[in-house]
Amino acid sequence: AMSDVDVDRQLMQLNETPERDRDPGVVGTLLRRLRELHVRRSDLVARHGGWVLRTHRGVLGDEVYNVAEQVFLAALDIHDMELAGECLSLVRRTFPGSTRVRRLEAMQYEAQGDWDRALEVYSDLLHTDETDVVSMKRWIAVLRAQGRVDEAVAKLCDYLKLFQADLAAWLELADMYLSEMDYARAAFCLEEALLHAPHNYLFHLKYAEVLFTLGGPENYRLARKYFAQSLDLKPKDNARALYGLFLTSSYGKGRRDKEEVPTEKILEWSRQQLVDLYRQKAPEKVEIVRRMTE
Amino acid sequence: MVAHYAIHNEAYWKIVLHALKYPHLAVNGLLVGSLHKEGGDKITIVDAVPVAHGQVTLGMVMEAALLQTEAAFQDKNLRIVGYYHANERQGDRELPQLAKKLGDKLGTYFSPTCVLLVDNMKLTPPGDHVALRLYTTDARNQWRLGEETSLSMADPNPLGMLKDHVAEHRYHQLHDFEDHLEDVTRDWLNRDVFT
Repeated sequence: AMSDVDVDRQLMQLNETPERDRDPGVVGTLLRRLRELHVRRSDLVARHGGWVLRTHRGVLGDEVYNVAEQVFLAALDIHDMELAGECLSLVRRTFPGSTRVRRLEAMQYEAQGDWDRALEVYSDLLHTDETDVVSMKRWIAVLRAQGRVDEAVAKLCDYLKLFQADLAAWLELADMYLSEMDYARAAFCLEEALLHAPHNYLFHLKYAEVLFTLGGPENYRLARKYFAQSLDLKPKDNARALYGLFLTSSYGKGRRDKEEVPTEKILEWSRQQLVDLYRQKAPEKVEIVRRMTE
Repeated sequence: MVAHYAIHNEAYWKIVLHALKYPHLAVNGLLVGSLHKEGGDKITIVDAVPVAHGQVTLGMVMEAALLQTEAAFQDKNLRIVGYYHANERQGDRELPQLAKKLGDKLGTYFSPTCVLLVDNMKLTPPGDHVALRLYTTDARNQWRLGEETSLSMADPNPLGMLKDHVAEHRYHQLHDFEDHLEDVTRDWLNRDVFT
């Protein structure tokens, strides 16, 4: 199946293609792939999804409502309120008063900065169904958008007490703590994320970076292990982990830990890996990397 | 005497395009330039290096970017003269803790360091106003909003040309250091973005 990079490239190409030469079926396929990948490319979705809905709606068949919802959200994201309104009308005509549509209306209020109205809707929906986790999360998003981070954190913590296996929620909480520079709590959330997804190279990387930011010899030592683990899981094109290994090793120079590989060895190895990577892919920058590592 | 900062177009454009590329996230980066002493400190900001987007409070990427930026510009006798930051939320004009912390850190290498905070409200639409707020430290090393006259545009027509860049979606071609780490072929120096 197409990767997000491929979808991105094809949609960018469509930007250069005159409308009469565009294939609405292809656009439909690309939009479907974006829905599957949960990628946020609102400018492209609004532009091309909007075009298909306005000029070739029939081609979409049963998918039209999914596409309308997708384009609606993208339109809100880039603040094209006219397009958003058209999409909402489309869905509302066929599914008047449905919970899903009411949530879309609430999101429209959010995009307009009308927080009170949005919260009214979410509150009402939760009153009807207290397990409506989507509305719960939107409420938390509104709090965050208003800058009420402490309240957003409290609500998200409450949510996580009920839904401990929600990986996305742990990551969102980590993100909130990081925005407040509360690294210790962010680390805790990432530990939960790692428990649920131990083979994800990105989580090892994030966790290592939080430890790095906390600093101090013990944290650098531990960070180094997680950078190494990230490299183990993704050995190619993982420059971020290589830099992490290099920097934590330069801070750990001279420490002797009997069971572990001497930091000088890791320092030299990561340095060489970086130089090799740049020599291969970005030779004009090898000199800068060399200078940095000396 | 109060220090004066002048920012060149390309540096300004890179800052704005960086913010526009990630409209739902905080972004930050470094300011590169030089200092002249002519009846007071005159700092010219020649270039901007976009560093991170999203989780900008993580230290490793900034650390690596700092080291590489120094290495990249030392031949040209240019140094890191400041830091820029764009808050996540549109109406948020507060100078965040991170900006003060990084400003202090850069201040140990270069003085007088400045912090430029992007005024997100002035980016809607971009190109009508210069969307920057200048901060410097006072005698007690507290970060304060500078006088409007302390920051000027060094080149003509910064806003008109910015409108063109935005219309052409030039932010797609801008890469920050984080983008570079994902794929090292992406040029974090952004040498060809405006050619």
